[in-house]
Amino acid sequence: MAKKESTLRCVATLTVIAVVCALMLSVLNFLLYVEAGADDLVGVYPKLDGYVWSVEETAQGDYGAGGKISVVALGKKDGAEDYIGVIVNTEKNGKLNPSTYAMFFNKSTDTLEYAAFITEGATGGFDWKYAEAHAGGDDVSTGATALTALLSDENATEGAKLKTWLQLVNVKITSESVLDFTSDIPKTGATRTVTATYNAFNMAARYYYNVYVKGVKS
Amino acid sequence: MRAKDIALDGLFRQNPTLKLVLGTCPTLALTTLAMNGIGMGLAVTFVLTCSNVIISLLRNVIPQKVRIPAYILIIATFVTIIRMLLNKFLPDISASLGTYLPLIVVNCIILGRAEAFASKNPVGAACLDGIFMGLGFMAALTLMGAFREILGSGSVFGVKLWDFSIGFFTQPAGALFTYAMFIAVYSMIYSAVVARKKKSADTSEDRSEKGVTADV
Repeated sequence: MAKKESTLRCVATLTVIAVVCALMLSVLNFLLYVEAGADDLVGVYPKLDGYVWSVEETAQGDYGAGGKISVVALGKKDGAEDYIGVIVNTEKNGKLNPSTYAMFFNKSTDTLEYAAFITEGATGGFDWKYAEAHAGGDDVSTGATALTALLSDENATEGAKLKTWLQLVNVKITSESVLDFTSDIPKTGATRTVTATYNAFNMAARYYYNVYVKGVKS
Repeated sequence: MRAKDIALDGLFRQNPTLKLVLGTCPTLALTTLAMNGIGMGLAVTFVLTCSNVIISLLRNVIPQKVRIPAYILIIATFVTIIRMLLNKFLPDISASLGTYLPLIVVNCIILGRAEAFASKNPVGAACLDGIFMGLGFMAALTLMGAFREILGSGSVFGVKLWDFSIGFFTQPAGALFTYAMFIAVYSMIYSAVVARKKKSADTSEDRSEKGVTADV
């Protein structure tokens, strides 16, 4: 009986300490939250090593639901092509935390060359690295097809235009369809991550199309 | 324990870096620049002081069996707080400390002081111990950082002194060499101080014995 009480006391003490710490950190996280900046684009796309990023003014406008374009930056390097880096913060989509994506557009070819998570809001289950590796390897067409479909579905009016300039070279994005042929990978929560990805891609693509292809700053 | 003793222990007699040889990982990795020493030292001082205070306050509440996980929870919370603060207010220092900042959680100095001191002493003493152990750590790291920066980069605190530099001191081997040298110098000074104290104690003992005899 005494042993049981002692165990209960241990568990209760640790639980109370953990809850108090978590509450304190939640409050401080809210107070000390740091918005993403151009520095967050450094090192995400290995090909752009040595690029200097300068923040561009973010054009206001409706670029789709489900998130927010937090940073747009111009990447420059002597003798190399210019790039536009876009950071998108998604909504939580039912996850514990929102996701943050970095997307890189080649300005001279207007292609979306690379996309990656900066922070993944998933609580687990979506093996992003695995899916990414498959989409970028032999299965690149699967990833590209999925993305093309996402863009054209969401942007019914602009989808056709988007597809003409969006060549999807070296696409690293995947969707749940990429995981379909890897049934050994657990899919818990994947749908929500894909929803977040879907929203993030649409927002970034719409933004780039409007501001840099059409040249409209609304 | 008197405040003066706690201060002297943290800064010199039980210096965590040079006497107890704790926290060697950040000591070797971050002392390429003097500024890193100050940044890391301040972060450790904050975590050490705050965790010491909380652990001392809860020393009669936390059951012995789960004291280590409880300490780690408390320490990790303060490490997360200092990370948030540095990210918000001093992002450059936060970037230069890199992965060593979150690794403060497993820094032996902090867990060691929690176990050896804070869990056995009242809040005031535990707080002072945290402050002075942290300052002792900071002083050692800053001195080592300044030494390596001067010889390895020809500058100190980022201010260029001359063009001459010895690349060896910016390398890991240079870090080990510098650390060994600092420990050797510290030990020499420590031995000299102890010997002088012993000598003066012996002398005063002799005098008092003679005084007692004369009185008799």
